[in-house]
This record gives sequence, C-alpha cells and structure tokens, in this order.
Amino acid sequence: MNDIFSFRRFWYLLRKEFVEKRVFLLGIVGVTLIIFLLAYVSADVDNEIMQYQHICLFLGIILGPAILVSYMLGGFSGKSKSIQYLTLPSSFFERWFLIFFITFFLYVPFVLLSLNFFDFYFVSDLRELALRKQFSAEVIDSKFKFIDSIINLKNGVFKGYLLVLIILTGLFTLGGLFFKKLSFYKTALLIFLVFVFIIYFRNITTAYILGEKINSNINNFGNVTVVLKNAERVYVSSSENISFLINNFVRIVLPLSLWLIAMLRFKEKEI
Amino acid sequence: MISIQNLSFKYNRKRTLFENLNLELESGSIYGLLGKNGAGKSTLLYNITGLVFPQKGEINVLGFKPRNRKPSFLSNVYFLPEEFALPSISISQFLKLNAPFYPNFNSTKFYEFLNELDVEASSKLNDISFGQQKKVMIAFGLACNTKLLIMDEPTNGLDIPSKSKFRKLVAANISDEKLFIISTHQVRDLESLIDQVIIMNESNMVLKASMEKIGQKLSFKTLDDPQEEVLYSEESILGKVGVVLNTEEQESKINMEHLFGAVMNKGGLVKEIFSK
Repeated sequence: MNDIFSFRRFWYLLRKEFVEKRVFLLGIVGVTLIIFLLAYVSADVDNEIMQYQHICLFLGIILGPAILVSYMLGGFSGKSKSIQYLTLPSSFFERWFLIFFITFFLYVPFVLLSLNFFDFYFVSDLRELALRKQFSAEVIDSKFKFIDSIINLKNGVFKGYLLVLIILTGLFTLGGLFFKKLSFYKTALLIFLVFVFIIYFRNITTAYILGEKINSNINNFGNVTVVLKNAERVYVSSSENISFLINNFVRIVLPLSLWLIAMLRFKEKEI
Repeated sequence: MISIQNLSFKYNRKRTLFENLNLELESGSIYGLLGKNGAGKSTLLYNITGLVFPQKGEINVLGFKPRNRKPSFLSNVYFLPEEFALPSISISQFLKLNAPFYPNFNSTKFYEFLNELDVEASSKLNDISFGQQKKVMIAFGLACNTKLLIMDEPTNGLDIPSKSKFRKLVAANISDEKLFIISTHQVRDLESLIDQVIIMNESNMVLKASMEKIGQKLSFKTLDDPQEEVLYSEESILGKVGVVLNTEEQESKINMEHLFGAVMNKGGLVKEIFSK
C-alpha cells in the first residue's frame, strides 16, 4: 500500500468532502455568484467597470478561498471531530493536497470562469449601451474593458492577486491547524494585527530615520515612494541584490514556506 | 500486537499523565479498560492510535509506530470515540463514503448488525437519536473487520436491551487475529464480555490480568468470616458481600463492580497479589 499518495484514496477523500460539506460548498459558490451578479447589475455607463471587476476579484479569489480553507479544516474544531478526521485511513499528504486541490484546482478556476461569464455578458451590454449613448470608441475601450485584460498572467495586478491568494490561503490553512475553534476569525484578527504592526513599525522607523513618511507599493517590494513633508514624492529604489532578495522572498519563499509548513503540521497534528 | 514501553506522556508541563508505562496486549482477546473519569483511559487510547504523541517511550501497534498515522496502519484500526459528529446524510450514503477506506469492510455484516441493533437502515444520521447513532457507529466499527477495534465508552447512550445486544455482537466478532479494547467507567456493562481486564487509577495501571487469573486469585462472595482480609465489601440483601483473597481455590463469579472497588480501595495490595 502506498502510504504517501494513492489516487483511489484521494478520490474517496474528495468524494467524502464534497458530499459531507455540500451545503457549505454550494453556499459559498452561490453567495459568490450572487455577489458577482449584484456587483455587475449595479454597474452603469457612468462609472468605470474596472472597480466592480476588482471588487469581484477580491471577494472571489481572496476572501472566498480564505473562508473555504478555514471551513475545510473544521475537522479540528472539536476533539471528537479531530479523532474521526485523523483516524480516517489517509495520509497527511492527501489531507493537505485535498485542501490545495479544492482551493486552487476547483474553486478558484470555477470562480474565474464564472466571473468571465458574468463579465462578458454585462460588459458587452454596457458597451452597447454606451455606444447607443454615443460614447466615443476610445472612452468605451478605456471604461468598459473586459475582465480578461485583468485576468491575465501578464498583468502585474492579477499576479498580485494570485500572490495574495496563495499567501492568505496558506496563512488560513495554518490558522485552521493551530486554532481549534473559530480559526477563521482568529487568523483574520492575527493577520490584521500583524499588518497594522508592520505599517506602524515601518512608519515609526522611517519617521525616526528619515524624518519622513514612507508609502510603498505592495506589488513591488524592492522600491518605495517617499512622501516628503512638502508633499513631494520621491522614488527610492533598493540595490538590485536587495530587490532580488526581497522580491523572491515575498513571491516564492513566503508562499512556498507557508504551504510546506502547513503540510508538515498535518503530519504532526495531534487532537 | 500492541507493545508499549516506558511511555511517558503529559498534556502540559504541570500535569504528567503517564510515567514509564509498560503494556503488552495480545490478539484474540477483548480487553476491558476500566477506570474512573480522568484516570487516563482515553489518553492511553489516543497514544495507541497516534492521535497524541508521547514525550518518551516506544509504542508499537501492529508493527507500526502509531504517530506516523500511515494509511496501511489506519486501515487496520478502527477507533470509535465516546462522542462523534455525524454529517447530515443517510446511513447508506455514510457507508458509501466511509467503507472504501477499510479494505476488509463487510457491507452484508454491517446491515446484519444494524438489524440486530434495531436500527432502521434507511434512516438519516441526523434524524436519529444519539443512542441510535452510536449503534450505527458500533455496527460500522465491527463491519470494518480491522485487526484492532477500539471503543471508548461504547455503552454510553445505549439502553439496557441494546447493551446486551452490543455485548453479544462484540463477543461474536472477536477472532484470533483481532484485538478489541473497550474503555468504560461503567464497569458492569462489560461483565461476561471481556476476557482481559486493565484497570487504571490516577494515570497508573493498577491491574492487568485475565478473567481466569482474577478468578484464581480473588474470591467474590458473601463475607461471613471476620478473620478474612477483605479487599472490598458492601452491604446487600444477602448480607455483606465483597472480594477476598482466594486462598481455598474456590470458583466464584467475578463481579466487575466489586473487582473495581477492590482495586480502587486497595490498589497496592491487589497489585502485589497479581505480581506473585
């Protein structure tokens, strides 16, 4: 018997997860689709569609997956549930991969496909409406871009979304493994506090060292924009080596580490 | 089948639960793990199934280290916890989703056990009482045909006729290759079912003996000789009854409650009697 991974066992695990948690899974998918619908329905020709598209992307591939992984780790929310979950004949790798697979291979692609579908229907409609209102072709092209201009691996913003998705789901998976009850809320609170601490620490430090405030662009960890006291903005870039290190740490080492630690935690998890 | 050597376990720094615990359990037996609430019965079972990890010592179950929780180990172990959370699905669906994990699962037997325990096979798990749910889990555990079957307080929530049926089913399903461990604080529930007894008190194993040996060493009777050293006694309609040393090699029916009382009362002496 293969004690690390067996396709058959994985299929049994996947099937069990889908049937036993069907209400939640249908619920989260249903709520996501309703939010998409409401967001697009409230869009009109007077506003750029991009803001609605970003709201949908944030809710669909950032918040939704975070809730999803926390719920799937609900098996650790009580002693009896933990016993049933951990004594089920499957390997730690299969349990870990199940969360990864459902999140990245099923949920996120489904959400992106649905979003594309909604977007195509509603944006085409808005473009037509704008045309009837005699908007110029340039305005229509800039205000009512289809979402595939964002959902594109060449797009830096989308890459940022994916990075946040992997890091955040990794953190929520770890939270689900560390906290027994209310893991989603506890992890969210912890992330929020860490975020606040980092911003506060950065501001205090830079104010002390430079006597100025610093704002940094989250998509590029190698450079910052310094806002001077006279409101002038100065672009400061770190050396190439430092930039390379920071970028690779945030883009590769951090997400990979989070998911690998989660895998090891599955192995060492006790009730 | 189960070998525990020098097991030390604690949940936190302050409270040590086991210190150098040694235990050997062989297949072909039904072990009754008895003890008061908080005696460490469940924790011992968690160690055996790899649900918690010992700080020191070696645990070997079916040739595996339980803490690795390998599927080949887990598919030969079924642990029925005292309480459980069941999904909102039918019994047949539950079977379809869980049975494939156990290669020796016998569906025909499962439905026979359900029938024996008076559970409607078409029921939905969330629509039936806790007692009925427990019966489903007992039937499932037995039908898994695992080499090791562990049940933690299985009779909690069962009515009197069901307890008797439970004993019958368990006794009928033990074989030379299997080992059943039944943990309970309701000692009377295991009477006439178990053939080996393990009694724990304050995280120590005070007694581990076969029913045969207990019958040889101790006598369970009406106490009429004031000179006899009594290990445990209580008043009954028949007069004073209790446990004494079996010096005359008389056969007596083992009363589990009295045995438990004797171990709780004079644990040191009982330990000494059985170590000879």
